[in-house]
Amino acid sequence: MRYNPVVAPPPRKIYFISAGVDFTLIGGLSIAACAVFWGLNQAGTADPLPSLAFWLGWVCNWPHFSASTYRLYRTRDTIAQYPATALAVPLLLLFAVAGAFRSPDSVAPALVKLYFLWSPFHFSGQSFGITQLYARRAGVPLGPLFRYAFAGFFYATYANVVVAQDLDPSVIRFGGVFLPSLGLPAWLAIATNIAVALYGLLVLGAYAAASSASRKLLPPILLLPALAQFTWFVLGSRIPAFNVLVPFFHALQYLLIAWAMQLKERIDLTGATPSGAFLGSESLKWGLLNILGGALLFGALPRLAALAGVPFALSQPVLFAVLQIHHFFVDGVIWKLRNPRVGAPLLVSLEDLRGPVRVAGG
Amino acid sequence: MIFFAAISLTAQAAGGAVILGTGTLLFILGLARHHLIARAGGLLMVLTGFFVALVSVLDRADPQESPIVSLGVFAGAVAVFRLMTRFEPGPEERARNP
Repeated sequence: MRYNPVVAPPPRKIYFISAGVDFTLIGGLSIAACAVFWGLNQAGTADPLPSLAFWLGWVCNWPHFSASTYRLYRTRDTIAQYPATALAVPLLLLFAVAGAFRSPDSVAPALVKLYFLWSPFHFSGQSFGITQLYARRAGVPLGPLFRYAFAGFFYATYANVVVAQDLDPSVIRFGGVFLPSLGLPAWLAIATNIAVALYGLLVLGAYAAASSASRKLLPPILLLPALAQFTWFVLGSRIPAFNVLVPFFHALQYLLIAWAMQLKERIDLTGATPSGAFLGSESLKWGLLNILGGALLFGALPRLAALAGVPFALSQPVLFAVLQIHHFFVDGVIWKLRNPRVGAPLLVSLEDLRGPVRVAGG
Repeated sequence: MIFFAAISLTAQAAGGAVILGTGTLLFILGLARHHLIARAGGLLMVLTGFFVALVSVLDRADPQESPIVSLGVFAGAVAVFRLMTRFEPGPEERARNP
């Protein structure tokens, strides 16, 4: 019997699609958008697209939640890998929802407030994870100093944005739920600004030192998630028209990576030839499934609750909060790079997926 | 009336702290014994306890009256979110620690 081993795959590519596309989706688009909205703000021009964030929510934000839910619940095997996350967390959150509907003046605000505090923390975790992912793809080991600098920077920007939202004692309204402020002290704003600056310098210093040690500039995309998060949480936080788009940019980052993972898994599962038509149809199916999933979760569920007698002004913010808290748990387990079933597929690129498998020998 | 309301809020926050503390101990035990249910159950108790305390804190009349409490809640939130990233081990970690 002839043995036809598959040769080692070609050297890893840094980018999932290409430098331009990856840069755009991982943060470039958001930085450009911030510049545009800043200019409009300076010129005193009103937001030219006030409904943009709303419509983008349906095709990007909600689908990204659906994509992670799909990854966890798509088979019994995936549920069995993370039973506590798949089964126990939703049960606890169901109790929280019931409590919030019964106590709209105390439990509901606390539940939504928990989500408001947790969401930017989750964004920071994703940004850090994406940085580590690109470092792995580029074959750049992130040493302890690099990891400390990046983690410190991301979480300093997180603290900065939370302080900004909870410094003012006034109440924020989210749908029909009124969120009290934590009433954080003013000096904390100065402290977080200093922390952002110091950790930012540390990141740049670590990047320069690592580039110098390797005698070549490290891939600039390693800095992009940090720059994007700085734009979202610090530079753009005072531009309301841009601020409402930040969840969209976060979802865009996620969808690039989740899409790449999905394609790799489908090719491995079906053994199909990864032609352009196959990749296109799989992408379309996955995209439509997640748009539908997002619409069910964030569009239908609050309305079903309203039909059951819960005011929509209460059901929408509460369910938005709970669905996203569930998402924070799910993302915390399904994207562990140390898991070879996750880490390995995330090292391929679109070019790798479409390339032929080369067979050695005769 | 206000006095009893204040007492009940403090009792609620204390109750939340007890649940949180118990959950933390259970989580640590679960980590040490590689026990999935204790680990995840402990963290769910931590989250529940924090939430109960948060309900109490947000019910304050003047949030800026006690900045130490506000700071404590913020720091507590960060600690809780950090802990939740260790909620459930993946299959590779379970394989290393059967």
